[in-house]
Amino acid sequence: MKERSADDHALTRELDGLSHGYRGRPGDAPPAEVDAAVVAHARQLAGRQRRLPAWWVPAALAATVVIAFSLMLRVQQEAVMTPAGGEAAGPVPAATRAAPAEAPVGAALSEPSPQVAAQAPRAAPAAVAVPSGEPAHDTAVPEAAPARAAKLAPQAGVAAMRAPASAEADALPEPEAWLAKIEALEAEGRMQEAVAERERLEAAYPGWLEQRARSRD
Amino acid sequence: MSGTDAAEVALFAPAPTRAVARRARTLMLPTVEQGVGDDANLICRYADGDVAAFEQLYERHRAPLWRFLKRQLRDEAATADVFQETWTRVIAHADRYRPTAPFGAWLYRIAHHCCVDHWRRSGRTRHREVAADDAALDALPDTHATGPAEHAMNSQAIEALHAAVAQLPDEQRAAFLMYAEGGLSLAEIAYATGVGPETAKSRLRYAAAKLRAAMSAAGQGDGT
Repeated sequence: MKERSADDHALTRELDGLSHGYRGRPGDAPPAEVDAAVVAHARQLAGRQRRLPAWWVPAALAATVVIAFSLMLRVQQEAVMTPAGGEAAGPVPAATRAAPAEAPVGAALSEPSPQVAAQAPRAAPAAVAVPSGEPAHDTAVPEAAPARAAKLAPQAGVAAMRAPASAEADALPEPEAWLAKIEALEAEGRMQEAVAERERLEAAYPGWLEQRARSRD
Repeated sequence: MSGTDAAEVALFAPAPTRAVARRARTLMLPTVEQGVGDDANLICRYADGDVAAFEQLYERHRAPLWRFLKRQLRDEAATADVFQETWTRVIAHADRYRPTAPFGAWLYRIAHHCCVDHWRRSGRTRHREVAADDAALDALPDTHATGPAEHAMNSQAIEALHAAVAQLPDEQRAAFLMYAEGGLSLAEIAYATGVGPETAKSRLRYAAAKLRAAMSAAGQGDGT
């Protein structure tokens, strides 16, 4: 250790000697215009770089993590809720409820019907339940509902996660009552409202109106 | 800046400097005491908008930094460019300076990076150290017994010294110039060049040996 220190000292002494000889031209300095440019730049930016407090970086990191996590949760929740609202909604006919459970989630998400877009804010679960252009489901008999419900039992946990969506679906009136209301509106001559309500009914219970008309025929 | 100077600055300096010193002591950083002083205080003040502090800092470092860059780049126009680029980065990142290293070491670290960037842009192949340096060093006479400081250097010897410095590999020249022009310590040179202290010391040792050999050849070395 002592030897090493002596060695360092000797090196320093030698470097000092060389430096002494080397630093022989004190007049060697930057030109005035370079000085002026640097100082002018410094004046221009003075105070623009505000010193950040020491806690800034960890705080920013923590905030980023929290935001990213909540976003991820939200996206995940929406992805789960979107295809499954139909089965969770109590009053939806079994024929229409069966569709989302059998259709792959990816398919339901990638091919939303135009109705989905129209009704997404209010009745997204029910609307997404039936992919567009699948009349086969419309002809399914209502009696099949219990059997399908039994098949879907393992998904009860998922359904539980969709509680908010199903609550919203529960808020929808029964189709019969809804139709009666529409007919009342038509009777009162409030045709625009009646048409709008009819469209909503069709979106919430796809095929129900057609099925009912057929059964009447 | 010596340790005593730093301690005095820490004791008698205005509040911002004392705050920097306290923070440095809390962090228990090895080189911190050297960085806690006027320079650290000045750059902190500049980051808060005090232009006079920058001017003082600039005046202190402009000439040594210019000479360092001029010897490294050996081209007046390139020196002016890299000099301005270095200070531009200092100005832009003044708020990021932390007294974990002395300002001088930080400044020369930036300058070193700017030099490397310049060489890369200009496509110049750097003159790097080679393993043969070890053999060359062994072949050189022991220079520790007497050094050039003990001899008066004539102008011929000074010219020979300057020429020898220009012939050094980039890393060794950078280390020597940081010592000679910037007044950086061994640890500071290691920090500025991004290597370990042993590597920095080794570079300085090679450089010193080669310079001594060149001076000997010019008639100013040992025993002449």
